[in-house]
Amino acid sequence: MIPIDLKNCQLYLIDGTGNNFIAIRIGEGTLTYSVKRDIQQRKSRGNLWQLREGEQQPTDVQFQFVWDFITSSGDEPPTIEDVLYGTAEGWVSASNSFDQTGPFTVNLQIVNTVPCFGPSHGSEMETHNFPLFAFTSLDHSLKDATVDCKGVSNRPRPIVIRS
Amino acid sequence: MKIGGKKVLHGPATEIIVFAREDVESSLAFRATAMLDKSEFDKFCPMPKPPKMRVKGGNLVENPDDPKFKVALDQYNKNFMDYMFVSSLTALPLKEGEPDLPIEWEKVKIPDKHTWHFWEDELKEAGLSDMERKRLFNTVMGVNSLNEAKMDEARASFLQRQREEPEVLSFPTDERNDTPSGEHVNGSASDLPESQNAGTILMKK
Repeated sequence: MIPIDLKNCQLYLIDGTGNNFIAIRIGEGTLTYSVKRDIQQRKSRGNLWQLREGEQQPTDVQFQFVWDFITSSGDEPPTIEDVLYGTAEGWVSASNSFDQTGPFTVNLQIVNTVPCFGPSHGSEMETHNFPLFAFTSLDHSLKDATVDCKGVSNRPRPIVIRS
Repeated sequence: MKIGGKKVLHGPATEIIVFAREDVESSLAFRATAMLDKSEFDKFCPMPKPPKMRVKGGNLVENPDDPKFKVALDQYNKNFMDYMFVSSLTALPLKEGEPDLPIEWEKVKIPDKHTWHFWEDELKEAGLSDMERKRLFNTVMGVNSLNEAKMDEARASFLQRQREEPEVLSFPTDERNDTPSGEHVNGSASDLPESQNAGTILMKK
């Protein structure tokens, strides 16, 4: 499991069009993900010979955090449940174009801006993208602003961009 | 509204600005008149509202720090400046006593807020230099704002005028015979007859 400290990160849940999103400002929390590969061994006369990659596996993702506030692309942010279930108004599933019958998915993105100390005094941005995320379990308390969620990203690994 | 029984009909603040050209007829004379209300502006360009954000407990509160809202608010303020300029400006007639001439903008269309900023292009096309355009803009802004220095100047001028009123103000009084006159203060005497002395205030300059 690879942990990401979510302290002071921004977590985005983005719909299939890219026009609708909610941005969750996180106070404290952690996201962990697990990448799996199906590696098959080939032998030659009983000796290990070649490796072959088997079928793709989805990425397991889970996160627990306390949020500070939630903003959105629209005038009023929907709740996290509405977004993950796909009941938020106008939201389109991220996998809608090729999968009409599957569960509602969103693109999950974590943006971490790390300040740089040095002559440039700039900042470094690290973005983790987990496309086509569908939750398998969700506990959310609006009162305490806590979220505990598990799910899968229908991609073999996250896309990490550093700039 | 009336003050002292007289209806106040002074109208809004105005300022005249003239840009000289070769001859008087081709000089450009403008009058900037303070905008009395912004209801028309509000109709064509409503003020943007901040989006909401969800906070702990699930409540929705306004988010004035939203970057898109800040951009919209900046644009709203720019629009207001442009509208104020366009709607405050008229041209002065060549003959005194005639009404001001409205400026017929070619690109600026009042119902379309996206065209309001074209006033600068139009003035440029009309031959007004950069400095002249800035001066005209500042005049319009000045007439529409409560400039502290100007207000101080106006207050001082008004008070000065008050002080320069006639030295002796007489109240219409009837001499009352039933009022006995007392002794002069400190034994002083007046040259004026008693009837004129009553109800008179000596004003010092």
